Amino acid sequence: MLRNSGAGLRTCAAVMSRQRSAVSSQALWKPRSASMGRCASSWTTILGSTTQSSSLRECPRFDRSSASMLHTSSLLRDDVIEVAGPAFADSISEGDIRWLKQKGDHVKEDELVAEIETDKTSVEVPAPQAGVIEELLVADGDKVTAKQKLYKLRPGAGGGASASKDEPKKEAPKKEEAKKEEPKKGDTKRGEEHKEEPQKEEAKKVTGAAPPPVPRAETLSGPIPATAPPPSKLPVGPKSSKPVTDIKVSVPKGIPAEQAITGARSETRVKMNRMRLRIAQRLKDAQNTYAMLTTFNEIDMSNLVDMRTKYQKDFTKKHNIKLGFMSPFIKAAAYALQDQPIVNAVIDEGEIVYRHFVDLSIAVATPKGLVVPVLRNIEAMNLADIEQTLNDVGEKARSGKLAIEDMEGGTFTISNGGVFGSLYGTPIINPPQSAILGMHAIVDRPVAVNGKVEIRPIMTVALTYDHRLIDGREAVTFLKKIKTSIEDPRTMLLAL
Amino acid sequence: MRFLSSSCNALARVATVYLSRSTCIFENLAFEEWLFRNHDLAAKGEALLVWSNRPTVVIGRHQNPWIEANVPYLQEHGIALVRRHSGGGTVYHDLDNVNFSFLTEHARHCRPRNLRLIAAALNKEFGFNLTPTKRDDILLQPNDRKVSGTAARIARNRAYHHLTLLVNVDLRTLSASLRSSYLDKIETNATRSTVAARVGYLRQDRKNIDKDRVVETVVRAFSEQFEAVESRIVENVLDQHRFPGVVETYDELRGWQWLFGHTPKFTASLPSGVSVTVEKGIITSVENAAVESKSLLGQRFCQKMLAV
Repeated sequence: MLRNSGAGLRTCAAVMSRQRSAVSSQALWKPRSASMGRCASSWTTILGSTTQSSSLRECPRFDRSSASMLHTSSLLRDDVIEVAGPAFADSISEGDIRWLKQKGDHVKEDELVAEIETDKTSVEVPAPQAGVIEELLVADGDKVTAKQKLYKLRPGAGGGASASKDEPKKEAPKKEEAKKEEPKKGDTKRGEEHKEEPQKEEAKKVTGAAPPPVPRAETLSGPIPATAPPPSKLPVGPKSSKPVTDIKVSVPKGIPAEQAITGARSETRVKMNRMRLRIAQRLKDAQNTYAMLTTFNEIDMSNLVDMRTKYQKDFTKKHNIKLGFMSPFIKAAAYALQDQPIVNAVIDEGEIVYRHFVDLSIAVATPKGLVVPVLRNIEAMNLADIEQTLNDVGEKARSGKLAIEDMEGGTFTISNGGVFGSLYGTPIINPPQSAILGMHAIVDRPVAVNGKVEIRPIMTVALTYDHRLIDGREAVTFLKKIKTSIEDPRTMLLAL
Repeated sequence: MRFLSSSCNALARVATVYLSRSTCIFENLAFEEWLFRNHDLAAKGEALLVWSNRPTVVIGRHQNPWIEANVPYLQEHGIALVRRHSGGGTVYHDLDNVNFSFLTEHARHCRPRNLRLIAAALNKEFGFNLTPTKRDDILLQPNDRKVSGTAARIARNRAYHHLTLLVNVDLRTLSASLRSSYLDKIETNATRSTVAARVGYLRQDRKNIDKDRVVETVVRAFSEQFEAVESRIVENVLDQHRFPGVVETYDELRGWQWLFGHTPKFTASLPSGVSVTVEKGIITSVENAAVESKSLLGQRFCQKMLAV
């Protein structure tokens, strides 16, 4: 439905010449190029408010030149700024404020701090800079007027995200950081900072203020004294002694009291619970029995990610559960085990026990500790079946309903450390099995693809295996097969 | 095709019309949000999004779902419940009714202009008597029947105005969906919907009207304001390649956290006489409770707790 762009161009030129004469002291206009497209963007400075007022008189518009300055803020001492809300679009005078962030929260530049509801509209209040919210000046749900001061923000990037609350002792190093990261602050502020606190040597270097002029020699030294100056008194004790107990360490939330590091010079002994004792026992047994080695590989996850994106909707619609990342790995492991059955076997008193089924143990972290439920006979399952089984088992695990039988008898284990962010790691075999696959975090990395550098999501995988039974070649081939099955699932169809 | 910048007011102005083929409220809202953040206003001009959904109740950003809608009724009848990003009150959608979203620069955001455009076009084409009001509703005369409600969202440089338009609806379903039985049980300062005195729909006055004709009329009137308009029918609004990030918004809209977890703080009186305070959808304090009821603490609030 494209019409008449030619007419537009002609009107364009006519207006250009009119505007040219109208502009006086505003920005000087230099046509950047002959082409219309690029020309247009350099006109915004001229055509700002002059042409707009003719149409739409009913809609009071707010001045374009102030559009970039939605936040009027006044500088207070201590780097804290008061942030005001934006202008409201229409002639509505007030709205209700809804806080999206709280006092003490750290915000990035442009992150939403609050919204103001004016009758039917919701106006965003983004943060003008990164920093920490010092104080909310109005309560949630209060009526606010346009450009009213809403909250106090202490600008500063990064470091403010730590859990500690503002304490007087912490302010000095925080301000140093703020100063380092925002060198644009004026000299006057630095002068104020100097007066307010006793500065360490560091501070003077940081500000980079011009050093005071070196006084001339005559004014410094007086006549040579006849007698030696008195020896200085030896210090009796430390300049400031603050007992360790007086220093308050703030403990992050969620840490139980018996574990917390509070700075107190004491210990707390807690008996190991049965589960932990058992886990410790088994891990040590495994280490003592197996000749454990770990081999690593990297998997390019882009095809898997694409497959998920493409089919997630249909999958969820048909099967009522989401397609996760674990199920393709489980499928790949089953496929690779069929190809290298020695990895599915185990040594038992001088015999090799080859198992003709694949029962996969999946390591799940629960609040009580690590549990490893088993998915039975997965060699025949497709991704939908695997997802369903995973779902059921996961639910049971999290609600503590797993029976002992559910956790026995696996032939291979998969452990996912990636959900916690681990990059590399050597998993420990879960007896009585012979190998374990560890999945780690997916990280975007530059890789070589067809001679070019591209960014791909890469996951490192680790296979720890019992070298008494499985040789290096088998272990590496097994892991390689998992890699190719994930990177290109078609190889599974082609039995490659 | 090169479009001129829309900041040149007196010059050729351009626009894009998006017609969504999706009938899922979550998909459409996710797409609308994507357009709001990513549509290139400078290159492609203003945008008009046209969309319809299967039966659903849409509450405003800062509203309380339990008092704005009849949650048990919605569950029984398979009507979806969703929280949108813009403020304002609660509305009912279904397939015979259409929604329009006008996306512009902040400076050009003008709800009365959009409403006048729609009313004038429909009045002219079909002979209705539609009147926009100061509250940005559209009333069908005679008798002030409300056929459209408006909401808007304004960010630093951009804004959108979206509205519903009832072409044909079962008023009983509509009022049953929007009438909560817990109005006296919940106390909050969340945004309250303004209940219309009378609700109507276009087919009451013209038996041969349907949604497609309405859409065609409005889109034509919209297009006449511009020199060039590009029209796009979007089959798959959740296409992550064309609209990166849209799936994340879709997931967020569907989650419990957004729909219930974003409810402003409120207190509810439960039938047993217990009174609970709910923040972010979770019960944070319990009063007048016997010892057993303390187990409510930390639980997600749900309407079963309000049922007798």
